[in-house]
Parts: sequence; C-alpha cells; structure tokens
Amino acid sequence: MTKGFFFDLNKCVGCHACVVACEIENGRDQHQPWRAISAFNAYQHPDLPVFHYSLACNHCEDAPCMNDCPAAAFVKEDGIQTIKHLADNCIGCKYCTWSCPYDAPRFIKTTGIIEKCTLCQHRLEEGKKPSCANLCPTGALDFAEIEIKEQSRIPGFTEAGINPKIEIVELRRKKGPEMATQISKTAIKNYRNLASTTPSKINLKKDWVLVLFTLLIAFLNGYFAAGMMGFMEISPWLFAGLGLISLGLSSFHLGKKRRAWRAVIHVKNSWLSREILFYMLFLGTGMMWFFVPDLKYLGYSSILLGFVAAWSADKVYRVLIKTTRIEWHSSSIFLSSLLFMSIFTGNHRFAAIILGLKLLLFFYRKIYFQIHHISYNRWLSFFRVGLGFVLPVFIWPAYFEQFSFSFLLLIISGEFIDRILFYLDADVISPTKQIEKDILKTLDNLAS
Amino acid sequence: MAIFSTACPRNCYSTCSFKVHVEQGRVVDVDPHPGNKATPEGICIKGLSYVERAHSSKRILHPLKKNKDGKFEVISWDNALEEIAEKLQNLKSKCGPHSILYYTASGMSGLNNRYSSRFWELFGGATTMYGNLCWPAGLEATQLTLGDNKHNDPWDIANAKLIVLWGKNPAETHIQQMIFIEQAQAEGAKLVVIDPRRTQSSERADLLIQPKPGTDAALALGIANLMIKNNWIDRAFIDKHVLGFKEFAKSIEHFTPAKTSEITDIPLKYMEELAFDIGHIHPMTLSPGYGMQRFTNGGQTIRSLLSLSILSGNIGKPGACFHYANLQSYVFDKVKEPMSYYPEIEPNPKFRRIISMARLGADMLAQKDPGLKMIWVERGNPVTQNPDTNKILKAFRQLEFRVVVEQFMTDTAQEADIILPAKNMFEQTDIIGSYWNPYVQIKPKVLDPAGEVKPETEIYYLLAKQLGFKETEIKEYLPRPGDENIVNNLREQVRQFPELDFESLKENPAIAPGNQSIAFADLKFNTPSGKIELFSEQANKKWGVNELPTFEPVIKEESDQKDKYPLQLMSPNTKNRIHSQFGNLEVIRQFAPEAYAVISATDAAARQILDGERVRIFNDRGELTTKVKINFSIKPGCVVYYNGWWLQEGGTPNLLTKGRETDMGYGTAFHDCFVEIHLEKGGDRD
Repeated sequence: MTKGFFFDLNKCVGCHACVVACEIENGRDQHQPWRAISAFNAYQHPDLPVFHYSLACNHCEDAPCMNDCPAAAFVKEDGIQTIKHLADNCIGCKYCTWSCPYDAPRFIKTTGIIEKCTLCQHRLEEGKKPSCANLCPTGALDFAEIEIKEQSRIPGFTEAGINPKIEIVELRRKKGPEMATQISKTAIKNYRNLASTTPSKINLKKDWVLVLFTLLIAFLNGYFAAGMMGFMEISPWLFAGLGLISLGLSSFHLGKKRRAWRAVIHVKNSWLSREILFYMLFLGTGMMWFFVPDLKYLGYSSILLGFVAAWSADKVYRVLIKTTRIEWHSSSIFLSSLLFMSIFTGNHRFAAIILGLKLLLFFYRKIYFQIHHISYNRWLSFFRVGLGFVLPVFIWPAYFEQFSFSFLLLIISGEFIDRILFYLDADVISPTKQIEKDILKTLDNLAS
Repeated sequence: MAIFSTACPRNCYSTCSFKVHVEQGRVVDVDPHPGNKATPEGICIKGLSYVERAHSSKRILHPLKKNKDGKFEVISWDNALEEIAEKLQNLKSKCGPHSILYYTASGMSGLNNRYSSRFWELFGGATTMYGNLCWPAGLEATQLTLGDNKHNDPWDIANAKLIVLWGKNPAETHIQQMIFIEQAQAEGAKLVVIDPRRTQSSERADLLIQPKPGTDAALALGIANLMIKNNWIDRAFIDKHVLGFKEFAKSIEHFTPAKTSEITDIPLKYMEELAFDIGHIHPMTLSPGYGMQRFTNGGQTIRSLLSLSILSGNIGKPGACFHYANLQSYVFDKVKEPMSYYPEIEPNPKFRRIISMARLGADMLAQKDPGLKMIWVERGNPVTQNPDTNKILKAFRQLEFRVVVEQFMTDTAQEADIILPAKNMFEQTDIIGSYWNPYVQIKPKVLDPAGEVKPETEIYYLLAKQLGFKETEIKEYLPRPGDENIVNNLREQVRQFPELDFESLKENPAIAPGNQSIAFADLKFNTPSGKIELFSEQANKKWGVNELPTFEPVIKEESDQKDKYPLQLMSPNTKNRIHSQFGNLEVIRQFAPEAYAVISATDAAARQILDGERVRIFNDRGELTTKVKINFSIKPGCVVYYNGWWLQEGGTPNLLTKGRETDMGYGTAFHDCFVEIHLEKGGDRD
C-alpha cells in the first residue's frame, strides 16, 4: 500500500475542476496546466463509450522521466516518494516530455525549463490532499491509500511497466449506452480519420536540428575511422569544424543553453547523457589523435567511443512508440556510422552488406505500413530509395575504383531523407495517443 | 488569512456551499463545504473561477459614460447619478414614468434583489417585465398537476432503482446530481437518458433514447398509453390520488406505438422497454431538464412527462419523485415562482404596464403612450439572452437613454449610455435559497467592493437622494448604505423562523424550515381537487390549453419554400457557463476558447462540410458564422450551438430564435427554431 491517486472512471464527468484547482493552488501560466483531461472517443462513435481521464504526474515508482533525464533534474523524495523536479538542474532538453506517457512534464517556453505536478507537497505536509483531489466535485479523483497492482489493460491508459501511483476504477459499463445508431455507414467511415488526428509530440519543424545532429555523428564516425586507419587523408579542420557545429546544433534546442554541460551528468541511467558524453569524448580524443597520430590506441579508442555514442544515440529513441515488430530502423545512427565507415574505407563488400541491410529494413517498414494502413510520406520514400539505393548502385563500381563526390552526395542525401522519414514517423505515448491507439484497435476488432 | 463559508448565487441547480479563503483583500482559494449534503465534494469550474472573477482585470470598476465616438470614459459617481437623475426626472414629467423600462434577470440571486423594484416604486413607477426566460412553463405544469413545486431531497436519488433523465445533462449543468445518480447505479439502478444528443450524462446510461426535439410529449403519451394498455400501472395509487385517469387514458388511445414512433422517430423496442421499466422498476425518479419546456408546447410536455410518474405511483416515496424544481428553500418569498413571474391580478398602479420577457424586442418597439424612452438593466444581458437579438438591438437603439449595471463589458453593457459598476457575490451580504437543495444559506460580504463599485441597494439610495427624496421617504423603501444595515435587515427576516439562527447560518447552511425530505410524502396535493390532477380545469381556464396533457407539434415558420430551414436548432448549456456568464474569464477560455456548432456526420456529409470548417447558420431572423464539429451520435436533423456566447465572441444563438411565449407560465419558447447551415462563403475551401 502506498499513497497515490485514486481515480474512478464511473464518476469523472470531465468537468475540469481538478485542472482549475491545480492552477489556483500552484498559480501558474494557465496555458500549460500540470493536469489535463483527455476524452476517450470525443467524436462519439456509437459503438464505443465516451469517458475521461484526468491525469497529471503519477509519481511513478520507476519514473522514466527520472531515469532518462540527462541532467539528473528529477529526484525521488522520501516519505510519500514524490518525483520532484529540480528547476535549477533542468536544461530544458524536453527529453522527459518524450519518455513520460502521461504528459506530466510540461515545457514552459518563457522559463526555458520543465514544470510538473508536485503532488502539492506543501499541502501534504499540512496533512491535506493535493488540490485537484480536494476539489473534485463528483469525488472521482481522490488521494488515498492505494494498491499498485498489475491492472488489466484499461482502454486509454498505459501502465508502461513503470508502476504509476494511481489506482483506476474501471467503467462498470464498458460500452456506451444502448442507442439507435442513425448515422449512415459512409459517414461513419470518416470516424477513423477524425479519431486519428492526435499530433505527434515529435515533429520536424521543432526538432529538425536532430536530423543534422544525428547524421553528423554517423558521418564523423565513418570519416574519422577511415582516416585513422589510414584509408584516406582526413582533415583535422573539417573534423573539428563539423564536430563543433554538431555540438552547437545539439544545444540549440535546449531551453537553458548555458546549462548544456549538465547534459552529461546522468550517465548512470540516461542514454541521452551517454550519447552526449561519449560523443564529446570521441571528438576530444579524436582531436588529440591528430596531434599524436602515432598513438594508435588513442585512435582506436576514439573510434570505439564514436560507435558507442552512435549506439547510445539509437538507444535514446527507444522511448518511441514501436510501430513495427522489428525495432531497428533503416536510419539507425549506428548502421549509418558503419555505412560511412565502409564507404570511406573503400570496403565495397561491407558497404554492400550494410546498404542491403538498410534496404531490407526500409522495405520491411514500408510493407508493414502498407499492410496495416499506416500512412507514410510516399514521395520522400521514393526519393530515399532512388537517391540512397538505386542511383548509388549504378555508379557503384566506379566509386570503389576512384573516390567520387557525387556518389558520396547520393549516399548522404539518401541517409538524410531516411532520417527525416524517421522523425516524421516518430511518436511517443501520451494520454491522447494511447486513447487514439486503443480506439483504432477496438474498431479493428469490431470490424473483424 | 480568513476563511468564510459562502454559497454560489448563480442561476444553477446546485447552489453549492463552499469556503472561500481571503487574504489581504483578495479571494485566493476555495474549499469544499461538507456541511451541504447536496454539494459535499466541491464546486464546479465556474465556482473555482471566482478566484479570477473577483479581481478580473476585465471588471468594470468605475461608472462609465459613452462619449460621442462611442467609447466609454470614466466619470465620477456624482456626475453619473446627476445625469441619470436629470434624465429620470425629465422623462417622468414629460412622458410619465412608464416611458422607462426596468429590466432585470437572473444574474445573481438573493433577498436584496427585491429592493430594486422598491426603488422604482418610490420613484413613481416604471414599465416592468413579466414572465421569465427559463422554466415557468414547467413550474406551472407541475403546479397544476401536483399543486406545488417540490421534490425529494437531492441525495434521495441514491434510493431510486430506475432513473430517467429526460432532456437533462447533469454531468455538465448539474454536476453534483451525478454523485447521487452514481450512488444509485453502484447499487444496481438502471439509468435511461432521453435526449437528442448523446451527452456526458448519457454515457453513464444503460439506454439512450433520442427523440426529435420538441416531440417529448408525444413520446411520454405513447409510453403512457403502452403502460395503460399493458396494465403496467399502479391502480391503487391512481384510484386514491389521481383525478382524471379515465379521461386521460381515453384521450391518449390514439398514441399508438406506430404513431408515436413516427412522430418521435424512436424505435418501437425502446418505447416498449421504457414503458415496461417504468411499470416494473420501482422506485423511479424522473428528472426532467429545463430545455423541453422552452418550446411553445413546453407546459403540456411537462404535464405529459408527469403522467408517467403518476401512472406508476412514483410520487411521495423514497427514491420516487418528479425531480423538476424544489422551491422549499425559498422561505422568505411571499410569492413564489412561477406566480412571481405573472402579471398581478390587481397590479400596483405604479407598475400598471408590464411587457413580455419572451417578446422583449417586439414589445419594446410596440409600446405607445408613452413609448419607451429609457431602459435600466440590472443582473441581465438581454441583448444576447432574450430571443431575437436583432430585434432587441433595434429596440435598444431607438431609446433615448440606456443605463446598464454590470460587472463586465457584455453585449448589453456596450449598448449603454452609462454603465454603473455592479457588485460581485463577495461584496454584499445576502441570503439565498436553491431550486434543488433544501438549504437556506448566507453569502456574507468578504471583500470591500473593488474600485468604485457600489451594491445596487446603495446605487438606488444615492439615486433617490439625487432625485430629491427625503431621508424619511427613502427609509420606507431602501436600506441605508453599509453592509451592517443589510445584515440587520437579513437578521430581522431570519428571526421569523425559530428554526434558523443567523450566526450559525454564517458557518453552515441550514435545512429550510418546513422542508419535506420526501416531497408529497403526506400525499396531500394543493390542487383544487386535493388530488393529483391529470385532468386540470385550471389548465384550460388559465392558459386555454386542453384540460388533459396533449402533444402539440412545434411551430415551424411558414416559408414559401418547403423545408427551407430543415434543421432544428438546439442551444443547450455547457459546463463552462451559466447562460452568458463566466465565458469571458481566462480560466474558462482555456477550455472554451471559441464558439462552435455541432452537427451529425450525416448532415455534414449531405452538405459536404468537414470537421473544423467554418459554417453559416441562418434563418429569416438572422445568421451567425462559426466553426463546426462533426459528431457521430447526435440525432441527424439537429444543430447544436451552445447558449451563452456573446456577439463579441462570434454570436449568440438568439440571433436565430424568435420571441414567443410558452403555452403556460409566460416562459420563453426559444426552441421552436429551425435553421439551415452552409459552408461559409470565402472559407478555406471553395
């Protein structure tokens, strides 16, 4: 038993009093409330129930925000064991907004950092309930002794294996009311489109720097490895220049740029910290090697660090919704690093294997999408195949006899487009997304 | 920090008790007040928004005068009162006091409101209003049938085994009722909701029945007929307590299932299910909303609904009642609603002229000898809230002078020549009752009026002085300024009930003296026959309707083209507002930033309208443009545009409604309203 939220789906009417209660108590910007109501089946499909979730931070036993934060800005407090956000530690990288399935961490533009529910710690200390639970007019949301147990999957809610401190009472009536459906079949067909319009939290407009950043990691990995192992001449200026640019880009989207250094301090748990740390070590040791090229071990260590950084970078994205069975994506930074290395080292067999693997992964994904009616960008996919796979094959033999810039450019543009596609498909779980997924799944079950 | 017990004085069922935290002259927090058994868990977002509302930067804090450019400028109280007094005197001597219309509505409840009309009496009279925008058709129907408007205590619904919410959506408009409905359901009660929309309340229901708007009487009579035919009725109860059963049974014989189904568009099986349930699942609470009775057939509709409670014997028992209005807490009112809305039989000569609330615009324009020259508006927003906004605007603009007492710059305030800043609920002590729960409550003064705000009682006092009335004359009609005088007055009124104590009322709400927890438990009915009157001579005498409940079709405007306006406009309330109040506050706007209409996927497809597009809703009276949301469960043929949006926010549904009175009770029949909807020209898509 522990203290936590007790939420009864039968009692919640979606009235928003909990949200306002929170705003009054915690006196914040009203456009980023810490608590939100999400409606299940807002467009009212006659075969599905309509109900509401009121969710804020569930102060999970295994809080992903805390584990994933690169700057160690979340700590577990003693006593009721709330997950506390330390404003002074936050660098505003927004990674926690990806890893939390409940939308609890909110990025505040004006301050450049995250805010989230404190469980009204100050009220708990006075023996009161959190404000939201205190002011729920139907008694749907309470704060009480609860049992964190393996709950059967409740539509629209994810436990995500992180032991959220919330006990949910399921709907007594799992269908909506019995009613005479009078909507025409053609009209009902549109429902699916309307129900699946939850925008992704990851989007290119916001996160375009990540495309460049991750691509540069892969490029520099291959470039350095080839040079270090003596397959080609490499320029320390280009290496340092691109390295600096990539680091600049990666801090570009931070809310608190001056605190960027903090990104490496949570190596113990955070893949993001690991990515940044290993990448910086790769760049640092790599630069040193230019000064002492005879220190082979330094050079090899540097290569290793670069590939660990690439591996970590891929791991950063493990918080994404898994859309296909095979999690490996054709634009994997690790794979791309290998591809660039094989191309720069002129190893055409190895290059063919990696490119083939990428092609397989790419088509696997598109075929999967096709079968499961998941939309994807057809034009970009066409160009990705044309520029990144087909055309290079045509000039393949020529390249491996003599370096050609156009070949490299084709490979880079293919990789670039693939990375764009990666971010276009990328999405993370949020309460509304979970609802959307479960609604579509239920509709599929109803149809079959 | 000080914590006060108070109560919400809005025109709302719940009339929540709550605790308000005041720190350094500001409302800073709100807490639930468990002393009110009907609202123990807390108040809704409107109540919580008082923290913002009390100190909103949008509040009007000074008297304002419209200048030649149409802009408002701050003026002193002295200047404002001087100008108003001069105008009043002028009009009184030149055209007589009846050239002034005194308009008031339901903006804030409380005993102090009565002083306003006292002022006009002192002044020498005015044209006043009769009728009401809301619920008197149903009140009158209940009064005719049961002799009184009362129902069981709110928490008694938990005892019901069958709950029928008919045209009511408490999950949005009466949240606290859901507590007791849920308690009943947790114990296995069946919930049936009857509503053309699928609402948050119907989500909890076992069965949702969606009749065509305005055909509820036919549905009720069809079900009554089924119950009688199958003998699913409480014979003993009827024989003992009901007048006119035989006549009633005969008169509804023609409401065969097939005919009822055709009128209401309800499948037979649902009618049979409901008839069977009402006949077999006891006790039943039937809780109708206030929408259905805002049709021209409103009163007869409520009488028809009542027949189901009567036939099944669901009156006067725990868990069984007709849960329409409970006026038992209005112990201080000499004349209760709905009679207080009616023209007096022997009118005070000072108020010999009264005009219709329902037909405000048309009636204002029609007045002669003297024509209307001036209006005084308080606690109301007639421009958006009375039917036929365009006509009201025309009538307003033909006047010479308009005074509006307001807290915010409403559409009505914008029409004013002078705006006087109105108090809010925290700035004057008052006593309020509720039309749902049985409590008498005190709402104390907890803040000094903001800025230069003065309570209405004080405005009138100063105006009387300005008009040259002597202190001794004024004393007869109005309290002296200062909350202590109000408190003394209220204390005096409380003293007439030994059960009540003013000091403890300040801490806790008190059950009204004489409250019947189970209404009509004594089976005494204050009707002419002393019985429940299915057959009511009074109904015919007073209102010219049939002595028996009947179904009258809604009025469709004659139009040269048939079906020019095929869609029925519904303008229900949401959780975000009380009529036109609250929507302007930031705390509310975050949830309801803009108006929108809702139509069925079928109607949208027929007009090639997509979700989120802008549409034009129109008929011969007016039009508005708004965003549209497509819905897959609303009854096709209906358009929803929510009540309470201001013109400034994109338009009120009353741009489309017509000013008509209901069949009884002088209510307002907003809902006999048909429209068409098109994609807005020049919109995103051609």
